[in-house]
Parts: sequence; C-alpha cells; structure tokens
Amino acid sequence: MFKNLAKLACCLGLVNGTFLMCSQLKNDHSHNKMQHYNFLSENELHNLLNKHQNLSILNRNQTEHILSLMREANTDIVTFRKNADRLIRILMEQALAQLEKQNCVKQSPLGFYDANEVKFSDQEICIVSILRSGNAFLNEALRVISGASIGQILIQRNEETSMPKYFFEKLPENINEQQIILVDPMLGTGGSASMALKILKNYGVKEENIIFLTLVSCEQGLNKVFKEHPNIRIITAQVDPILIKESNYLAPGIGDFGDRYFGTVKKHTRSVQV
Amino acid sequence: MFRNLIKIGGCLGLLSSSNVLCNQIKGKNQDDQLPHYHFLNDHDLQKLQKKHSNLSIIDKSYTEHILSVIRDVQTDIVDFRKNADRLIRILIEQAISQIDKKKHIKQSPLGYYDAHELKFQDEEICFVSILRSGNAFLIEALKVMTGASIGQILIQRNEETSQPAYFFQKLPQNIKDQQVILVDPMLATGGSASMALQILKNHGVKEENITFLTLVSCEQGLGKLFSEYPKIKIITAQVDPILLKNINYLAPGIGDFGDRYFGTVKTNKAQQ
Repeated sequence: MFKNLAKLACCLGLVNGTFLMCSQLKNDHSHNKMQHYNFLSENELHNLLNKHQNLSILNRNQTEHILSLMREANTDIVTFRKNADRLIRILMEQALAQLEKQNCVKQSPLGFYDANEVKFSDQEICIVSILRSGNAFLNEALRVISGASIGQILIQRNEETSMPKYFFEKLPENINEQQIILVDPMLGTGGSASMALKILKNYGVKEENIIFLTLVSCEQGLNKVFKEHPNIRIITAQVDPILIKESNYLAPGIGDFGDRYFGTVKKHTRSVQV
Repeated sequence: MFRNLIKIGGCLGLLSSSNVLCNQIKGKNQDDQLPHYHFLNDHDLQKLQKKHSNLSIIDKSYTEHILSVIRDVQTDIVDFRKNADRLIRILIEQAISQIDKKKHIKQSPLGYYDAHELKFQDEEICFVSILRSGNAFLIEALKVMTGASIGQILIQRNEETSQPAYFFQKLPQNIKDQQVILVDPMLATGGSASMALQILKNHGVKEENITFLTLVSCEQGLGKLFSEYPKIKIITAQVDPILLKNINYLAPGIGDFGDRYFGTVKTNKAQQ
C-alpha cells in the first residue's frame, strides 16, 4: 500500500523527494534479491564420488564453459542448443567408454594388432529417453550410435506436488537383452528417473546394463536413485549445490531445459522458470 | 618362376595336387608373414608422459574401440569416416578444455553463479590444417567452433626421402594474435609438423599459443617436436610402438589416413 501511495504522490507531481523514494521502492521490489549460488568444492565432489562408486562426474575443464553458457538466462536458443548438443556428445562418449569391450586380433594395412572393441553392435544398444526433455539427447545419440534402438517413456512432473506421473511408453520388445542408456537432462528429486528405471526393470532389464545420463543433477536426486537402483551407473556433467524445497528446482540450475531447448519458454511468467 | 610352372600345371589340368601346391605357395607369398604389433604398455606410456609434460594422451577407454575400427584394413569408408570424426571430435574437445578461461558472475533463471568461460571468442581461435589429411579435422572443428578461422599449409612428404616439401600456405593476417590449433592425423618422423610449426613461428605465433592435435603418433615424432618446440602442447589419441625405418610409416598404424578418409586409396598397389 505504501508503494501505491508513493506512486500516487509521484503522479501528482509532489516534491522531488517522492520520486527518489519511488525509485528506492522500485529497487526494493527486486528484493527477491537473487541469490548467488556457489558450486560444490573439490572436496565435496570427492566425497560424493566416494559415496557413490557408480557415479561419474565429467571433468570440469570440458564442461564449465559450456554449462556457463547454457545456464545464463540471456543465452539465445541457437547458442543454447549448440552447447547442449556439445555437452550431450561428451556425455555419450563417456557412456560408450564405459561399455564392456572384448579383445580380438585384427589386421591393419601393415600388420596385426590387439583390438579392443565394444562387445555390442549398435542394435544391441537402446537409448531410452524420458520425454519430453530427454529427446534432446537423441540428435547426438544417433550421430554416435547410428544403429541404436530408441525407447521412449513419457513421464511428467506434477508442478504442485513434484510427483512424477506416468503417461506412456514405447520400448523395444527385446529390451531386456539390450544395453540401456537412459537419458534425461536434469536430475532434481529423482522421482521421474526412478519411475523410468522401475519401468525398465519391469521389462526385465538388469540394473548393471543401465547407464543413466544427465546434464545437471543434485545430491538428493543421486542419493534417491542410487538407493533404489544401486547397480546402475550414472554419468553427470555437473552436480548443483541446491535443490530448492518449494519448487524442487535445481539452483543455480538451467531453468526449464525442455522449454529452452525446444523453444517453448512461456514469455510472461517471471524469469524464475516454473 | 616356380609359381608360374604350377599355374601352367594347374591350367593343363594336371594332378589336382598341383592345386594344393599352388595354394601352399600362394599362402607363402603372404609370407611377409605380417608381424603382430603390441601397443605400448601403461608403464611405457607413463614414462612418455613424464618425459613430455605438455603431452596429453587421451584415455584409452574413449579411444580403443574407435581406433580399432579405423585401423582395421577391412573397415569401409563410411565407418572409417564416422569413427575418424568421432575421434577428431574427442581430440578437439580436449584441446578446447585446455584453453585459458576467465571467471565472472552470471545469472541463471534462478540466481547468480560463478561462470568460467573461454577467454577467447570463436574468431580468436584458428585451426591450422596441414593439407591434405589435416582437412579431415575441419568438419568437426567447425561444428564445435563455428566462428573459428581456418588456416591451411600444404606440405607433402616425399615418399622416397621422407623429407617434407612445402608447397603453399594461406593463414589469417592476424594469426600471431590467435590461439592456434594445428591439426594433422598422423605424426611419424615429425618432419611435416615441424615445418608447419616453423611457418607459424615465422608469422609471429608464440609456441605457448599452439596446440597440435594428432590421432596416432610415435615416440620419435613426439621427441623431435618437443625438442624443437618445447612450449607447444600436443594431444594425441594413441602412441604407436613402431616407426618403420625404411618407409617411415607408423606400425600398426592406420594405413594412409588421407587416402582412407578421402576415398583415394590406390587399389592395385600392395597396401602401404
């Protein structure tokens, strides 16, 4: 109310002082003074990796520039997509590096050599995307493993309760025999990922055959998923320090990855993405 | 001559055993019973990295499958290109991760965070390709750094003497102010790379601003480059154990990378 009185006073052209007050009040309105979030220290990351043996965090040198651009609220969609794709490619290469290999002897133009190749053909690998955001991974995934199968599970998070809701799935018939790379850009509470993993296990997929890729995650999500599915592997580009209680959003986070990647950002909501 | 006699014998429909003999001799003719090359063990690699602190060898879990496919003489051109591109991308990402960054504070939709970004714009980075094989890197390079400049230096190795011969160059005018990523898939004697590096220095580029990317290298080549240009950085996917003396080819090697990538493999000559 005070604000309104001040505004009224300005409009009525009262003393300059009013104007000054007005500006001050206006500034105070951005009183949801945005916080400065500090990333986890080397020590904290070390502890996290010790706690979860099946967790891999990408080397910061490779990811910090890219993540910095993606996180920035002002980044345009072209830059966002380009950098997301680069990061997704790096994650995919890391997943492939962890697939089982087998030894054989092969021949180069000059002689024989010991070959160590991935045990599985393209078709024996299945990229399972948690729709909608997970689909962002498919471009790069198919560039790297052109013959892979693609599975899709539609799970949406209820924005009020943060509970995951299942809608739909389409998975290869023989998925229980495949190596799975499950993909979803953000890992918040871990609710959606956990639901997807249960679905995969219902189809007979073994935990050891699943690698979960996510760009940004947090301790809570990692803890939950590893607790319920201890034998899967998780590879993440960065672990954010905070999961905001009310909204269950990561902070500093990226905003809504799906909206930013697919260009469906709602214009008139506050910059705090919902 | 003996072989020819057998062939005539075969044609004249003589004893079927001639056929058998024929095969045996044919078998023997691939007599240059190809050797089996063993890769450097972890210990050797560690020593190499200790010796050259500016050397990075990509972790083998990323590269061994890909390299195995591209070395394989039976790999067709589509798979060769696909895998070469994947490996080139991995090398480029590694090169970029080593470029200087600077810190500032930026704003995400939810708050502020510490941003570490490359000190340089795309345009301040120059990929210099040692033609012809080096051009294979440019496709992925421009996917990653769409605004980078491209420099080109044509050096061809005289196959008899293994000496590099210079033909041509086209470099950005301000290259001395740029971060340079020099690219060439194979590093054998180091002759061509050394010549290219000399050219860059003549243009005023500082060694510290140069990263050299190569898929497969060997100790001799690495030794030569680091002794002539100690401050450059080199990133390689694998270090082959042998540099064959007579032809100065890496073994097991990949064959001729340029021919295999660009589809200009000569079919009737014995495989190089």
